[in-house]
Amino acid sequence: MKDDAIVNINNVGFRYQHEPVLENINLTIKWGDFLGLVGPNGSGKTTLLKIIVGLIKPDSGSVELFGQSQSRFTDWAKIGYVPQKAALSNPTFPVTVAEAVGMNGGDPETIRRALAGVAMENKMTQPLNELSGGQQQRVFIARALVSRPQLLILDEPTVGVDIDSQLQFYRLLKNLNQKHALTLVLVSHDIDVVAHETKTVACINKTLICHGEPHTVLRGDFLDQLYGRPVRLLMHNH
Amino acid sequence: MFQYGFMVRAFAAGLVIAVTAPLIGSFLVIRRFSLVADTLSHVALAGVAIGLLTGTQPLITTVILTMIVAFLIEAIRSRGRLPAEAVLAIFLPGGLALAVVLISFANGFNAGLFSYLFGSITTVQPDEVWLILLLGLVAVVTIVHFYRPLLYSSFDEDSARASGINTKTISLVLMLLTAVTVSLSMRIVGVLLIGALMVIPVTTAMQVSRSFKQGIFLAIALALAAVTAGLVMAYYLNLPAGGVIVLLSLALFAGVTLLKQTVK
Repeated sequence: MKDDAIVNINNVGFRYQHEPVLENINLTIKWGDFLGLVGPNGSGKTTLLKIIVGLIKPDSGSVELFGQSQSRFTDWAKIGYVPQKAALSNPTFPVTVAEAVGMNGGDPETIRRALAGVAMENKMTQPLNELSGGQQQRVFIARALVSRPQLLILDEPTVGVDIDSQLQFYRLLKNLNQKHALTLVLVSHDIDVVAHETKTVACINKTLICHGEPHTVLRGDFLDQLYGRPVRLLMHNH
Repeated sequence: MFQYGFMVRAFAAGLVIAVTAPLIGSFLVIRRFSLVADTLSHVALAGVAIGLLTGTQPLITTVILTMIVAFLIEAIRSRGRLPAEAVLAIFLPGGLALAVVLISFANGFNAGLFSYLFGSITTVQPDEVWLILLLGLVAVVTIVHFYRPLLYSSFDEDSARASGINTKTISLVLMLLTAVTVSLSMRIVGVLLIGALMVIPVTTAMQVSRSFKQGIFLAIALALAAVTAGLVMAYYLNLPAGGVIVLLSLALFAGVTLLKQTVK
């Protein structure tokens, strides 16, 4: 099973008010992968994630999750999802860190462990709206982890997060991927981060333009095609 | 005071309302949907008119009508074609218009109807007390049972749906419970004032609570205080119960707000 695909996207297309958002997307996400999805604004990255987690039904094509057709898939605890702008949309919402994590289930011990996993254990009783954007983002990851998922999907998780917290954040993701064998899918507009932090990259702009390891995929010709203008990436190692 | 059967019934009904109204109201406020209680209360008036016209127990006709309208509001809102507050702005005058027309068939207002508008401590009938207790129990048990998915879908609907929660059903359950709570509260607080008891204690509690659960318990405590003191004052000073209860809730809101400002 370990070599099997976790997500299989076959010929998926989606239109919004007759405008094509995604066309003929074929993409396989393998066990243990850390996939970065990149593309310009409005390229359909978020839509593709929403299709994977079942929030949107594709107009054409099909999705398989853990070897099962999505329409028959019920084991949603296997997939953790942290949507875009998960950081508080309603800042007056009176909720503690432990309550926010517990929304996704789990007894107090599971909640504590999930928070320990993102180094937020000491904030359990603190109101969520007193935390910084980066800390809130960690809490939302803990919430997704509470159901012990095998696949974690994150949509632009570091928007509005300062650079130091971003570095810590990606260290955390790498740790989850390597030590806890969690398969990760990360949407980011920051192509530089994706190039350095992920194992594979998929470039999307309505269609799938490229898919592979960062150093083979993030080349000039693909990037020009992706962004419709010359884009160059400075590859440097940490 | 308690030698009178009507006061015992008023307290029994009042305490049930003081628990259920802020409990349901907490979820409405965080969903930015507070005005649904007011909308359903105007529909409730039409339900009372149907009951009085047909000679049926008004509480039953009101529960049925408000639940039907709650279902319609949720069906239209969840399609996402109209803003939520516009949906409420359609049904609120709609309910009132239906009520006025139906009341005209019954030859206009009478004292019985007036007590439904503003609440009265003397009018709760013995059979109504049992119905209020039963419906209140149903509301509390349902909220406790659905607490986690209700909180999750109120906080972050997309994540809740992605985790496998049927957020449409959860929203509908909350709307139907709101309809039930509005209906069972109208005898004591009155249809025009029940929205206040679902919202004011909650907004008061939210200012000082550090967790959602704490907020719910504090809101219930505030509502219990307002209802108890309100009923006592209504009895001794011969005032309309609903008005006194809402004014006391507002006084608590003002007190907590001022206290918070001073402490800061």
